[in-house]
Amino acid sequence: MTDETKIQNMIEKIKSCEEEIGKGIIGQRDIIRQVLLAILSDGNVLLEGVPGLGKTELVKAISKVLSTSFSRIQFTPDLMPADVTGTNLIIKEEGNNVFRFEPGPVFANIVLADEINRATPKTQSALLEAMQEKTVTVGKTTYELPSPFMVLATQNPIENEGTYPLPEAQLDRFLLKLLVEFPSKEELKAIMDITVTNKTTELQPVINGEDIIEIRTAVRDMPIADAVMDYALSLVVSTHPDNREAPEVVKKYIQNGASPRGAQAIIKTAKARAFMEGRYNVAFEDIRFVACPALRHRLALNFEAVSDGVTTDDVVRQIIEGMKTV
Amino acid sequence: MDHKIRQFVYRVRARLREQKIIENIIKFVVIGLLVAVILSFVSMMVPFYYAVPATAGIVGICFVAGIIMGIYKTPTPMEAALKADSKGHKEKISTAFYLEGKEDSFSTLQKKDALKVMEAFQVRKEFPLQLSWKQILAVLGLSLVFVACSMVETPAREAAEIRKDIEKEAKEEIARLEKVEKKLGQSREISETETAEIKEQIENAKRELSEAGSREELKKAQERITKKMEMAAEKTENKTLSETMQDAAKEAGDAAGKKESDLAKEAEEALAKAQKGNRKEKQDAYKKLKKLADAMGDEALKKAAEDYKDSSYSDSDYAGAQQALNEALENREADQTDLADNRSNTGSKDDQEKSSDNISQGNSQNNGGNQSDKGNQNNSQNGNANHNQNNGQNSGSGNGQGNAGRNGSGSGNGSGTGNGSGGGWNHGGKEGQEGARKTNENITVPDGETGDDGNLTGKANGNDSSTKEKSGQSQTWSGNKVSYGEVSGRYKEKAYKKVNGSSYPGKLKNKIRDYFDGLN
Repeated sequence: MTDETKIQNMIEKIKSCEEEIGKGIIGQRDIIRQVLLAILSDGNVLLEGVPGLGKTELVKAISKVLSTSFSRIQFTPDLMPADVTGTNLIIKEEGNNVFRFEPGPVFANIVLADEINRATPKTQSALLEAMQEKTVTVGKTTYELPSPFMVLATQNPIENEGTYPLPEAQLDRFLLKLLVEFPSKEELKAIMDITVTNKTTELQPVINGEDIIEIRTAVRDMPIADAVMDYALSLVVSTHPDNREAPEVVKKYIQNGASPRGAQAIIKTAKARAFMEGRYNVAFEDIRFVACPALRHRLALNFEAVSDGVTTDDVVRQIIEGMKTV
Repeated sequence: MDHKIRQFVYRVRARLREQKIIENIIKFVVIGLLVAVILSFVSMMVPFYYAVPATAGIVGICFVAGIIMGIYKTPTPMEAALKADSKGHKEKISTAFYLEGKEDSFSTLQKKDALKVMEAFQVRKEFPLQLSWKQILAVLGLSLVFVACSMVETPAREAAEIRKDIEKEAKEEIARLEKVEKKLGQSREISETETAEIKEQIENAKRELSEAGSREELKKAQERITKKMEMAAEKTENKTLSETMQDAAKEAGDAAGKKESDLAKEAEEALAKAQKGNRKEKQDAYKKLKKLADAMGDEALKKAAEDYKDSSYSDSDYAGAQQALNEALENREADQTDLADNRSNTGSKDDQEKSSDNISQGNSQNNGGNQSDKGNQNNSQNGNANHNQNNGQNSGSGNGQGNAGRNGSGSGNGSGTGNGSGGGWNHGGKEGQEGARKTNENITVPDGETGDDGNLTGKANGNDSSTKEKSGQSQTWSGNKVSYGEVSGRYKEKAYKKVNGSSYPGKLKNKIRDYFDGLN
């Protein structure tokens, strides 16, 4: 099989995967695509949206189509870190009492951290190592998580009572933060057709863990021209208000700019997008497509922005508008 | 594959360069034209003859600058590739260009993909040479404004034109002087002292010419130079130097005459054309008449030309201008005839050496020979006076003051001036007259007697209005005398040096020079 055929096969697999998920989730095309981008880029996703928009359904659908192990953790205030990572149990083995590690729900290919902001920071932090290092340390032993591994977390933005906003350090570990929007009227109608009737949609696994790893490797090899790379980096640098060349909107509304992880996120996901589009190179439009989801949770707005109702997306969009490609 | 990609990128770049050059040319020409219009406006108020060539130069420079800037601003190959990508090719071309030399599987696939795009890419169609209509309109508009501005006649423009003519004439004169200077430098027969002296005079003359601010000043400077040359020719004992200076003076005189006759001819032709010509031809006639009037110093002709212009070139003023021109030409012709007569009267150097002839001239109180035409008496008078002062061999000369008309019936009022010095003064002793007009002169003619009419070189007045008088103011003494010419020459030279080295205004300098010239 030639390289070209191999790559084309991968692209086909991803496309069919996208189509298959689309069968179970009505609308939310961009969200599906962006989640897939995160999967291909080896990153974690934070899905934010009001209850009932199908965030959990989406993650379930993805896990079915991907044919990988899936576990769901419902985050609540009384959830303990050990409930996530697992714990050492004393068991009797050949007449002796010994500790044996019992893996927690985090030991799966896809972990759904539902309503992650309901858990205490202590429990939230239990995910930090898993998300970044793909390992879990219990006691003195570090356990490797299965590959591919990714956390898909959801959070509800309107309920503040009894919630613990994610710390910046943890937010930074999410490759993308996706905002799940309310569906359009047509999409809503289609959702009704599926959910309030006896119609059922059986999703078929299209891709397995090995395929994902192979595609991830290919995506990493995707070439990116210097000019495109510069464009992405300039975008990230422009988010820093102390940068002399930063646009006025940044100087006015941003408290802290994006970290180098932001640049990594943009480049990685842009490569994945180019791959999904069937191209062999990254384009400016790939950068523009992933800029908001990759940066929106990495920028800290100041009080003025909050009072003016300015969002990080507004700022990123304005930065992009002011940037020249040629 | 890499070669094809590179070729394509450079093809795009060349096309973009063409576009850049066009854009920059237009942009710079607009700037140039703006400057041109401003200059043109300024030249309407401030005399600046070179406004048009200067603006043409500026526009030309801007054009070249546009080309240079266009080339300078040519996009880099990567920029050209990105430009090509901007036509909807999603950075395939720029990535392929970036991947030059890389042979991994992804790079190869990417380049193949990009080559497909390049094959379908029509550079000329995708990058048509575009002209900005706004800029083109600006160029056309500014060009029109510039042409319109350039055609407006203003006093400042007229003054600039005159100034330019003066400069041109001054340059011609300077060139002639330089020729003389060169000739002097080449001659071995002339002593170093004399050469240095003449060269200094020439340098002064050149400075005077270059400082001339008006036609009048130039004319005076030219006259002074000619006179100096003549004096130098007479003063020196070196035959070569004398000949050189005489030739130079003659050449200067001839050139001035030729210039005037050329101007006269041009004015005549222009006026003839203007009779039934268009406004432009009439304007041309006015300009040429004015130029001639300035050159001749003819106020009547100048006024007629001005009247012709002020009346918007009316027929009646045309007739006036025509008449004034005819009169000016007739006067000029008469002047030339009399000048020739005067030359023969004042004689060649050989004649001057004949003391008897000079004595007989000196005897005459009525120097009526030149009274046949008005305005010529002065020539005669000056000629003789110069003669006397310079060679110092004459015992006296008539000082014709006749007011005669062209029919020769004018009256002469002569008073003899005698200035004898050197070897020949004894010869003219008896017939010499004491001078009256030049009060500061030293008259060294003993026993001054009234001259006889028979000694007149010209014709005596028929109406007997000529008077003979004896001034009685002359002084006589014997002994070694210093010639007036020598004294005044030294005096004048000192004054000239002082004036040339000063920061006096040009007009004042001329006035001083004229004063010292007048002492002759």
